[in-house]
Amino acid sequence: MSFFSSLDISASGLTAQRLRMDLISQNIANANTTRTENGTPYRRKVLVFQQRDGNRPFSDYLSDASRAKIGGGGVRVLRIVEDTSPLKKIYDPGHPDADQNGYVHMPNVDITTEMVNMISATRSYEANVSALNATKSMAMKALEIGR
Amino acid sequence: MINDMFKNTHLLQQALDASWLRNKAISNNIANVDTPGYKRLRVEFEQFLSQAVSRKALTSSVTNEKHIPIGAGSPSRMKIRVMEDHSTSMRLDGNNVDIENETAQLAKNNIMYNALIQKISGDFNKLRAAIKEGR
Amino acid sequence: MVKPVSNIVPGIKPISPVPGSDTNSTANGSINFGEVLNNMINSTNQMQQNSSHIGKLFAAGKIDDLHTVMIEGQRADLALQFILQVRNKVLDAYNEIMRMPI
Repeated sequence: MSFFSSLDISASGLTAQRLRMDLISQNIANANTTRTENGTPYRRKVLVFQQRDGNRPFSDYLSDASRAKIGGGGVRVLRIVEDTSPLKKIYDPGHPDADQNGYVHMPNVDITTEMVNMISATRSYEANVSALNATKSMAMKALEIGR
Repeated sequence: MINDMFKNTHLLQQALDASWLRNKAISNNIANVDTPGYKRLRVEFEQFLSQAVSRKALTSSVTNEKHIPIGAGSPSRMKIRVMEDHSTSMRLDGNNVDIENETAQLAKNNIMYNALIQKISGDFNKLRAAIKEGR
Repeated sequence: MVKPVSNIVPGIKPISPVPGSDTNSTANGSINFGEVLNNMINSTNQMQQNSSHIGKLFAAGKIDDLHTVMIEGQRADLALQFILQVRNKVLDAYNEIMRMPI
């Protein structure tokens, strides 16, 4: 593990939550998009988080700093997947994307769910910020040794 | 002899190591608050320390080289353990990070670290004053 | 050829050594000052090397926690100060003895 890995851990959390926020915005912005590039209605996108293991080279285990081992190196976004839940159907015969029965397939985005997730993402982001600040203040305090 | 001079600071240094590691573990827990199946990490050190300290209270003199001294007098080999907490399951996705608790632990650990730094700094300054004869 | 004082001036008894404070006591267990000084210098040297080693590791980004670096630096510094102080005292004592009129 490298120099100040705790800061890297918090940074990875910030990046992940930021990306989550971006996707939520994307979902809300496309709440009414019935036609994407490949012609199908927009589907809600969600993130899959995965714990990032400190994938360290073996030599690190032998070095002096190996005592700084900890079973994790933050979080990473494994992939972005589309929500496969069924699309909403709305009867609107005048819509250009309506099928022969007059139904339009609307995206499976639920604004309320997205708003709740947004609050959750904000909270997590803030928690990561406070972890980052705590680490920073500890490091600054350590510099005061012997003064 | 010179090593004896720093005996106390060795102990404090270990406590600092543990505190730093705990900060890292808590940061990791917070970063993984939304990771399905993640189990929170916790750092165990204090009970080893208190064991070592209480063992030290009943020291023994060794009359034979082959005797093992009680208390060993060396907290230099204390363990700091990082382990996964499987005892609770907070949510349906198997993640058991409680963000409020982690934030509280973070603040607690931060204060602890600062206090330890202050203490070790004071110890060094005391030694320095003694060496320089108070000048 | 040194004769005991009592042989020259009768009436003066030779100073009997205080039991236990024999100058040859180094042979039976206690440590002599030179050895102590030598040990101190060696461990100070080791601390300096340790400190510079840790400094190098830190510069190379291998050390995660700042306090280790700072503490090792302080230890090395204090050990050096200590040994310098001992050296000064020993030199002072030596000079004092040299100036002693005999």
